[in-house]
This record gives sequence, C-alpha cells and structure tokens, in this order.
Amino acid sequence: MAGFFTRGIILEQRKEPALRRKLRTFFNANYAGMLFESDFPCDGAALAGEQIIEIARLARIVDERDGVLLHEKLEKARQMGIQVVVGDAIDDEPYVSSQMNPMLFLPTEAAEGLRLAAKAVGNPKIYFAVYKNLNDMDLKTKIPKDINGVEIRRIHGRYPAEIRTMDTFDKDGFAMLVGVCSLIHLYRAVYEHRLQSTCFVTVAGDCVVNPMNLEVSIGMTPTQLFERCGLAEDPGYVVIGGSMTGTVCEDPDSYPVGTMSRAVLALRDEEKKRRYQCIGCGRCVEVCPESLTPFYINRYIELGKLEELAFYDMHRCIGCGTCSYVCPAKVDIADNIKTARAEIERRRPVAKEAD
Amino acid sequence: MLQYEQKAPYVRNRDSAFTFMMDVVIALLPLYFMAFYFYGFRALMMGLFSVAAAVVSDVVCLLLEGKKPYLRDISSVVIGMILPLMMSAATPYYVVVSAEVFAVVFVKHVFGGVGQSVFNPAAAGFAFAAACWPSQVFSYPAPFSSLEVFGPVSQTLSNGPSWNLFQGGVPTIDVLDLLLGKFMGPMGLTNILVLATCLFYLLFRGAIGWQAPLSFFAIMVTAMLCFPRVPESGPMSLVHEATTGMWVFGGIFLLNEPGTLPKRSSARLAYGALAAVFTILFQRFGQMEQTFAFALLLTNVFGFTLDRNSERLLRQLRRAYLATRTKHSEKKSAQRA
Amino acid sequence: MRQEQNTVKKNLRKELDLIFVQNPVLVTGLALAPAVVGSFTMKNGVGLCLVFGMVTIPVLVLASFLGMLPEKVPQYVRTMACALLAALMLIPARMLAAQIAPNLFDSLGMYFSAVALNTVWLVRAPLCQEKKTLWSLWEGVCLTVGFSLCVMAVSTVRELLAYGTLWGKATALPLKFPAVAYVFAGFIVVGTAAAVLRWCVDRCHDILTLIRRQQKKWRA
Repeated sequence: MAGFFTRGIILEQRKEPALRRKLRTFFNANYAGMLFESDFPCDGAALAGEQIIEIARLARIVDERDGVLLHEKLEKARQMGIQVVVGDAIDDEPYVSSQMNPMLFLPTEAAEGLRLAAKAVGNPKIYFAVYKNLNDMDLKTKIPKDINGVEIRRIHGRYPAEIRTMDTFDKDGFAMLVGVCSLIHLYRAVYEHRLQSTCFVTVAGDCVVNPMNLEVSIGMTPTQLFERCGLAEDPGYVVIGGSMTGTVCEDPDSYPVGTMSRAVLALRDEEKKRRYQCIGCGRCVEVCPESLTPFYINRYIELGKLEELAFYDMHRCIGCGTCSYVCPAKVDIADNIKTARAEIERRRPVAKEAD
Repeated sequence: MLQYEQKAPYVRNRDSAFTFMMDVVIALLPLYFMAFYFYGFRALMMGLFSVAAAVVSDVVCLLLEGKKPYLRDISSVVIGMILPLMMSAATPYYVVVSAEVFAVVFVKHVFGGVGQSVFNPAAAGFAFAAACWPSQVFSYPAPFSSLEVFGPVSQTLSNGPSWNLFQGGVPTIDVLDLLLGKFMGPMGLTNILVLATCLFYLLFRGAIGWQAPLSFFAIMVTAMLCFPRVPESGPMSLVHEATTGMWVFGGIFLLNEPGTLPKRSSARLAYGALAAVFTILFQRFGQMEQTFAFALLLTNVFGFTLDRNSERLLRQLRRAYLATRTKHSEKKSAQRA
Repeated sequence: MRQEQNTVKKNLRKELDLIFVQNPVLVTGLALAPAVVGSFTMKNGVGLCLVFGMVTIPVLVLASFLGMLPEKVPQYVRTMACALLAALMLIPARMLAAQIAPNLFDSLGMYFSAVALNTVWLVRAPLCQEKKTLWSLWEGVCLTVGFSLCVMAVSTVRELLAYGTLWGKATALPLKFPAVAYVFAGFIVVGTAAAVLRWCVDRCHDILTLIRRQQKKWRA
C-alpha cells in the first residue's frame, strides 16, 4: 500500500557462515532406495507437460513455502495460463538460508527443475528471486547474476519481502512462485525417479558451533541435527521455522523435521528481553507493512473486546511479526493477534447457534 | 527450562522502553545544567525532590495494584524531571512534591499506568500546582542571584516578562539576553537554543515523531508572526513569545508524551495543529500568564477521536486500493482466458 | 405471623443496604452533580443534605400514594406531581438553610435548587408506587442517610484540604491545596470515596463470610 518503501524493518540477516558453506547431506534412511515405479523415460527433454505433472504427483513433492503439493500447483498454473514462473529463493528472515544455499550449490538441479516446471505450465518466462539483503556488510557469498542461464532477480525492500515479490514481477505478467527446493526434487524425480524423502534445513543459532545448511531425511529430530552440527551450550529454546514466524519446539528429541520446517534454530534465552507494559509509542503503527494499527488491536485484545477488532481490519494481518520486533516494550503483539484470531473463530459457531 | 514462554519473533530490536525513556532523560539533562548555571544548587535539589516523590508514589501505587515495581521502568523519573523545569526556581519544595504526587497517583496510575493515561501527567501536575499556588509558581528570582537551598528564599521575587505580555505590555529585556535565557522565568524553559538542540537530538534518536511538533510549531510561529499579542512587529513578537512562553518546551516534551499522542501520522498532524489552536486561544482569553499546560490537557481529550477518525479514513483508502487490485487481477485473468 | 415478621426484617435489611452497600451516590452514581460541585465546605454539605432530605422523603411518600391511582393515569403525570411537590419543598428548605448559615443559599448557588430534581427520586419514585407508605418513608430515610454520609465525608475532606478549616474554624494543618475546591478535585474525591467504600464493603463481606463459616463449624 502507500509507503511501500518505508514500511517494514531492516533486519540483520545473520546468514553467514551457513550460507557460504557447502550443502551437506545427513540421512538416516535408505536414501538411494527411495524410488517410485514408473514407465516414463528418465529424460526431461522427452517428456510432455502433463507427464511432468504426473511425475510430480508420483514423487509426492511438496512446495516448502506454502505446503501445497507441487502437482496441484502446476496443474492450476497450467489452467490459469501463468506467464512467469519464479523459483522462490527469498529467505528474508534472519538465520534462514535453506532456499538460497541449495540454489547456489546445486545449480544444475535448480535451473533444470525450473525449466521442467516451466514446461509443465506451458513455457512461460522463468526467473529466480533472491532477497537483496540490505543490511549485511559481511555477506561473503556473492549472489551471481544468473544460475545456469536463468536470470536471478533481486527483490528490494525491507522485511517482509515475500508479500511484495508479486509486485516485482507484475510488469512481466501473471507470476507464480515455486520453492527452489521443490524444483530440485522435481529434477531428481524426473531424472532419477526419486521420491521426495528429504528436505533442506538451515541449522543455526547462537548456540550452534557450526551453522550450516543440511539436506536431511524427513522425520529426523532437531537433537540429531544439533549433534551433527555441534552445540556450544545448552540452548535456551529451539525454534522450528524462521526466526520471525517460527514456533518453539517443545520436545527436540522427538519432533520430526519436515518439508515446511526450513530452519532449526538453537537460541539462547536472553534475559534482556523483558516484558514492559505497552508505553504507547506507536512504533508498531509506523512499521506495519499492511498499514494496520497494531497498537489498538493489541489493546482491545488485552481488554478482551474482540468485537472492536473488525473495525481495525485485524483479518488483514499477515503475521510477519514486524510489530513485535520493533516494540520497545517487547509486547508480543503478533502472538496476541494469532491467539485472538483463533478465539474469534472459536466463538463464531456459538453465535450462530444462538440465532 | 524456559523462564517464561518465548513467542515469535525470536529476534527483537535492541532498543527497549528503557533506552527510549533514557533518551528523554538525556535530552532533559542540558536543561538542568542551564538551570544550575542560572540558579545554583536549588534547581538541582528541586529536581531531586521531584524525582524522589515521583518514584516513591509510583512504587506505592504499583504495590497497591499488586504489581511488582520494575527498576528499568523509568517513566516516573521522566515525569519527575519534566515538572520542576516549568516552575520558578524559588518554588517551595512542598509545591513540587504535591504536584508530583498528584500527577503520578491521580493522573498516571488512576487512568491505567504507563502509556494508558488520557492526560499528560506532567502537564496535569503543573496545572494543579498553578491552580493551588499561582503566586509561588509564577514569581521568579533574577538569574545569578544566590538562592538558599533549604528554607525560605530571601531574594526578591517578581513577575517575569511573560506577565508583561499577559498584561498587554512589551518586555524591555535585551534580545541577546532573551535568546540566551538570562531573564526571570521558569527554571528550565528560558534558553530556547538549548531547547532546539534537545528537539533535534530527540528527533534524530527517533524518540519523538516529527509530525506533531511540525504542525504545532508551524501554526504557532505563523500565529506569532501574523497576529502578535502586543503592538510590535511580527519577528520581535515571535522572539518575545518563544523565549518567555512555555509552549516551546511543551511542544518538545509535553506534546509528544507517548501515551497521549495519537499513533497514526495524519492524526498526529491534526493533534499538533489542534494543540496550537488551543494554545493560542488560551493565550488570548486565558486567566493566567502561562497556559500551555491547560491547552494541552484539553487537546489530550481529542487524541483518541483523532486516531479513530484517521483509522476510518484509512479503512476507506484500504478498501478502495483492494478494489482496484482485484479489478486489476480480474482484468489480467480475463486477458489470458 | 412469622412469615410477616420475616418479610418485615427482609425489607428493613434491604433498605439499610442503601446506606453503604448500595449508596446512591458512590455505588449507583445518582445525584452526582450536586455531590461533586456543591460539597466543598462542611456548611455547604449540611445544606445539601438538608435539601435532599426535605425533598426526597416527602416525594417518595407521595409516590406511594400515587400508586393507588388508577392505571389509566400515565407515568409522566405522576412524575410531574412529584416534581411539583419537590419544588414546593424547596421553600421550607431554604428557610431552614438560612438558620444554619446566613449565606448558604448564595454559596451553593443553583445547586441548591438543582437538588430538587435529583436523579435519586427520579429513579426510585416509580418503584415506590408499588410499596406501602411506611416502607417508602423508610427508604427515603435510608437514602438521605446514605447521601448525607457521602456528602459530609467528601465536604469534610475537601474543606480540610482546600482551606485548612473545619466548619469555618481554622485547624493546625500545615499545608493547604486551594485547587481542591474546584470541580475536578470534587470528581477525584468522590471517586476515591467510592473506591474506599467498595474496599471496606469487600473486607466486611470477607469477615462476615469467615464468621459464618466458623459458626457452621461450631454447629456441626
């Protein structure tokens, strides 16, 4: 909306050294044997669009950004006549680089996977999208201009950048984002008939000795991953997902890491993050990318007056966590909004019964 | 195990409420230095008593509410530092302490505490003191006269140049003295050059927004230049009014108190303008020589309404934008189909 | 016979509640304007209580008589009759007030007469139409006692703080806050009194519950 360039926040990316380290593998299952039966040839050039979609279905590939099955996504894109397919390697949250790193270290697989996806959709234009990190002076990894002939387009702007990606490709036509990791799995499905049994995660955080990107078998636990990378100290808490939108892992010994996990972070419990009472400074209102008023939304949630929230358009909240980040009183605004949404959903059927 | 439940996001800005309020405290320190330079140790003692009274009443109120007092929450220290600067250096200590206790207990805590109060506590405390003991608050000693730190003040106190302006006369003080603050007036408000530095420091640190001071000062300066209160030229009127009045200090420290200021940009601009209009009206038709505190208390009432109406306007804009967006994407899908 | 005795006790008790637990000014917030504005000296407070008593009690008694009128008579006619009586009662009230302090009427100004149409009887008169005369009288007495306690407490505090005097005679208080005589301080003092009353009532309730529990234990 208005204030495209001024809303949002500049975050310290903290992606090094995980980003420049080579992608390593860490399996606990028979990776080589996980194949699916199929009569299709192991050659992308010989396959038609619908056959590629069929292969994606057989391989059970899931897009790591939105959890949608890749074959459904490609099918829908084909029907809607998508004009641009973009390989999504936008990692705009701190610590996370589980899309950028595989793209840089498996360039053939990523680029070919994107071309296969394009073929499945109907041969539109193709790009990779990478966030142009604004605030990392020591980012040692140089992002190249193209990967195996596919142009990389840098997404400008502050966090959250994901929601503005579509605006960048608007001039080129109707665009669709497909996660880079799922493209790599698509390549392997086509050329090796491999099922998707692995996922790419970044293992990082204050307490990790060797932060790195790993390709792990789906279902491994955070404890195993930390043993692989080394822990300097007992973490205060473990986060699955990005550092802005992830969730705390209650039981790192048994939680199964999956395609949507993206990152496993071991963070220190810092005592400086104290809870003050909201001081009414209004910084949350200044940074909200959707131009909402988190101050009043939070106040009404704390007062319990959930009816007022409709006036403040709470349903438009995208859950980026910018308001909580910038709050000097460390109020958990984003979390309060999440809880309130669930509460409103819970209350709705009761009201209908009362009618 | 976790000391308390961690919630997303897990990285936070380094600034906290403590650093935010420390910026205001740091901006007030040069004013106390100026007060010490003009009036000696009594100025510092007033500040000390005021802060002590504010902190003690804050702690007592928090304990009565059942909350644990938190050392890093220095909002009461900020109120304690702002209030004595608006009074004369020879004001008795009981005036300052009573005003502080009133401000913290009845204006800050009764309305909800930090960030929730409808009225600015420092302005309300000053208003209380001015209503109770106007002669003590508004009679000023001459600068560089040695004031006793404890006990009654033996220096002759008289009304300052603001009284002259209030009566309709023109102060006869040299312009250089006016600009440097070497005249009889409130303890910390006389030197507008130092105040301007404080304003720029706070703006640079992001402790105050630019919208409310901009509209406030723009309208005040225009009114002073175009409609002088006394028969003299515009720029001279501006110099007199700005140096002797409380509104420059008020526009920096009182207007932008985070709890009372509206949160949306357009609401802040309107709020600053409204405060300026009320200040001018109170100056013309008020019964006292320094009336900014009262004008601000009146403006505080409109803070929430301005925010609400700004939100209403923004909702319309949002819906209009979304409507154009959906039309745009419908057109695109129609093009390909 | 016993049932009648019990209802009598119950009604007595219900009206006694009006003094503290259901205080008209501090709990239900009726007749707030005179209580806040007029009560800045003890003499003014006494004057207000006097007017209140002389207006409310007769009006409530009249209301119980008006209850005997046929249903056809609309409510506004009954209220107008009560208002007429209230205005007429101002005359003896003023004469009595002059006995207490000569310029009481002048210092209270319009609030002396404004008490005639106070919200206390405006709210309770329609309810009194269903009651017997004796109970309406008792209700009027209890309301007056409740109002008086509140107003006297508030005016004592305000006179002490604002002027340092009690009933016009100076006390040895070292500090005076003249702004307490203004209306804003009236609101603050009445609000504080309401909070103090609620705290006291809650503590009494806690003590009574404790006593009852002990009694149950002893009986068992």
